Parts: sequence; C-alpha cells; structure tokens
Amino acid sequence: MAIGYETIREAAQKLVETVNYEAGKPLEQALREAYKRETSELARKNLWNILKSIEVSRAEKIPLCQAPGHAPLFFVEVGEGVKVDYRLVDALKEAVRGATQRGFLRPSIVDAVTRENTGDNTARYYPAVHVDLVSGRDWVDLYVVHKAGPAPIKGIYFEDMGPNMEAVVEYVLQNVVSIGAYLCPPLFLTVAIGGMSDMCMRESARALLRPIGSRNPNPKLAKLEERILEAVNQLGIGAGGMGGDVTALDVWVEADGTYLYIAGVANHLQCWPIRRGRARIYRDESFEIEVY
Amino acid sequence: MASTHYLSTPLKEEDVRRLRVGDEVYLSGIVYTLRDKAHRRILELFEKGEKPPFDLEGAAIFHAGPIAAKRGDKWGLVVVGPTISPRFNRYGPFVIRELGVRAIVGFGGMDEKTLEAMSSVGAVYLAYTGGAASACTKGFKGFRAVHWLEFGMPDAVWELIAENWGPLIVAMDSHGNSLYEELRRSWSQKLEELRKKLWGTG
Repeated sequence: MAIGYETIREAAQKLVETVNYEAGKPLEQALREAYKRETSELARKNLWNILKSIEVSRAEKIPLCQAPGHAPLFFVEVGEGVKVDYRLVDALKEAVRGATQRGFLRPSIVDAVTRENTGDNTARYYPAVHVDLVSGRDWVDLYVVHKAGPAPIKGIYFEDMGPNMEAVVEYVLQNVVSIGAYLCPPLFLTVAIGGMSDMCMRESARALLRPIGSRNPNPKLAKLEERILEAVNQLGIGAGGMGGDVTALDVWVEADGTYLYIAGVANHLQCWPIRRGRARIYRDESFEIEVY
Repeated sequence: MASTHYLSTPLKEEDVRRLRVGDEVYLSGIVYTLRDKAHRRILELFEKGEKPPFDLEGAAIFHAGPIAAKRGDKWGLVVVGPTISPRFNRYGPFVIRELGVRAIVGFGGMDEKTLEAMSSVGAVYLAYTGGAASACTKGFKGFRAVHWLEFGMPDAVWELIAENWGPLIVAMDSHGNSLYEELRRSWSQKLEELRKKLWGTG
C-alpha cells in the first residue's frame, strides 16, 4: 500500500503547525542553560522574553515568531520498503497553504520581481523540498525547519582553506560579527564545506536538522565545531544582540568532496526559534511527530 | 541607574527626552506597524505633497508585520514581533524629522544619521527581543484599523492597540547615545583579539 497524498498532507500540516507553537525540549533546555550562565543583564532580559514566549506559545498554541522565514523547508527521506504518492511535493505545498490559512504561518513569500505577496507561502519552488531515498527502512521521515529570512545569506568559494580550516573559522567569525546581531541570537550556526555552491548551501541547510549537542563523527570536524562555538561565544554579541556571553547555542559542520583546487563553503546563521521537527509516516499511514 | 517609564501615545518631546539608554519602557496607545512597502509609499506621497491616511505626529512606529486572522468581518491579532531595523536606516531621519515620529520600535538598532535626527528633534529607538513574538504580543489588545492591505499581510500598516507593552529597552536615546555604536565597536575589537589569539596576527 502506498502512503497517500492525504496522509502526507495531514502529517506535514500537523508537523508545521506543531513546530510553530511548540519549542522542542532540547531547545528550551539549551536556552534555560544559557539564561543560567549569562552574565549580561540585558542578555538575561532578552532570554527571559524568549523563555516566556516558549511558555505562551505552548499554552495558547500560537506561533513563537510572526516570521516564518523562507517558509517551511522540507527534507524527506523515503525508505526502500514504502511506496509514496508521486504528488508528494503537491501534498507538502497544500500543507503549507493550510497552515498559512489557519494562522500558523504569515504569508511571507513574494514574487521576486513584482514583490507581490503570493498569499499562501507557496511559489514554484516554495516550500523547498529535498527528497532522498534511504535503504533499510519501511517508513518515510518528513523533516521540517524554518530558516530565518536572511539565514542563508552567506555562501562563497575559497581557493585554499589550509589544513586547519583557519579560513572557515575566520569566515564564520566575520559573518557573525557583521550580521549575527540582527538574526535573532542566540544562533545556530551551520557550515558545509565542499561541493558546488548549490550543494554546500543545501547541506548547510540540512545541517540545521542536527540535534543540539551532536558532534560530527569525523573527529577533525567535531573539533572544528567546538572551536567555532568557543570562538563565537567570545565575541560578546549575546541573546537579543545587545551584548552578552551566549551568542551561539551550537555549531554543526558538514563536509564532502570537491573539485581539485577549490571548495564551496556555506554558512547559515539561524535564529533561535528554529521550529524544526520530524513526522515519521509508517506503511499503515499512521504517523508520529517529534519536535526537537 | 536604569529606570522604568510608562508612556502613552501620542508621545510628546518631553516624554522621550526623559529616556536614557538602558531604561525600560512600557507603552500604551496606538502603535503603527511599518515595513518596507509602507515606508516607500509614505515617502512617495510626501514627495508629491500628500499625506498617508494616518497621522504619525507623536507616533510610535513598530518595524513589524503581524500574523492576522479574519474573525467574522474583523481582523484579529495572532502574533506580532519586531523585524530587523537597520534596513530602514534610509527612512530614519525622514520619519522623525518630517513626520514627527517620536519612537521607533524594532530589533537590531539604526544608524548614526537616525541618531542625529533623534537628538535634534527628540525621538528614541526602543528594542524588543527578536523571535520572541508570542511574549511580545501580550502587550496588545488587537487592532484598531488596517491600511494598505493590498501590500499583503506583513507589509500593510496595522494600528495596534498597546496596553503596557514591554519591557522595551531604550537602545538609542535623544541625547546622542546608542547602545549599538558601542557594541559594534566592541565586537570588532573582540574579533581582532580573537584573531591574534587564533592566528597570531592582527
């Protein structure tokens, strides 16, 4: 039996609506710890507002933030043991349209030329959907994340990064100093090294799905993550961008192959209300939602 | 020592002159949301000698675009929170000097030219936490009116009814002080220090 259009739509809409009003427990925990260790009075006030908004949204089922960013971004993993309705992307579009109509998403996608609001957060390539086929599973995982509007603003090529990735650290630090305060810190930072510009941008976005506290299995990249996190948290930007100790909650780095003498490097600067989660849809069309 | 102020719109010059960077403000009265398209339209009207269908003399404007929901034939407020202010820098002196705006509320602060206009005319920039919209929304009773809805929900001008909305942090005052000028300097300096530590160079 194939997982049908209506099941995908229902699971996706429920997922989008839930992540908009329900902050994941690991996110809340990270913010509470930030509040405890923060020494700046202004940053503590901002963290207090953040923690309050988490409580208000959970109690009243209203969105954490009015701005959905680049509309919900989907990563779909289809297991080898399931069949899925081929109108998957249409079902996700309808889910986004439905969540918009029900007041969980502000219509925030406009025609790039005329600037006319499309009214329902959809366009030809909105919501963005990436599909992967995965072996050894008989279910579908729908992941969603809400990228801040300007989050994917940074992505470039380096000719030579040096064996210790100095240029990557330097690049992220420059980005955080130049725009980090405006992107609703405390931030999540992702970096993808390798590939062409579209590949590293996509993988940098996918890295936004990683659990808080997770480290890249490659020890060299794990070390790079810790190095960037430590350095960024010495900049003094803080929650709310008014000065403080906790500028980033976590850093996730991914790397892949690339062409002989260049490598793409992409860096996302993601706001604290990351609004992400997963809907796992089983063969019998039942599904469960996890917010993290 | 930072103090707390309770203010109502329309604001008078003496209301905002009392405020100092670091103070907290709770605001009541009408607050106008103003984003990219509305700023542009107001400037176009001004250049033709025309006025928008709302009066910003003594007003508090809010860099924000809400989620609104139709309840019967009326618009209900779902959530609203601040957007990134620096992109409105080019309109800062205009709305203060020409339209009489006394308070700009947003996130991320504005530039030196806006700060100059604030000093000379008497206006302030108030900051609220980015992303914390549902907590921010507790300060509003709903909408009084909406203008220019044809711009789309985020870009329309919504008249919000504020009731002890806050705490808003005075981040730029009318005495030439800006939290952001000092911060930006300190972040650049810390980056230099980090570079020395990490790479041994400046």
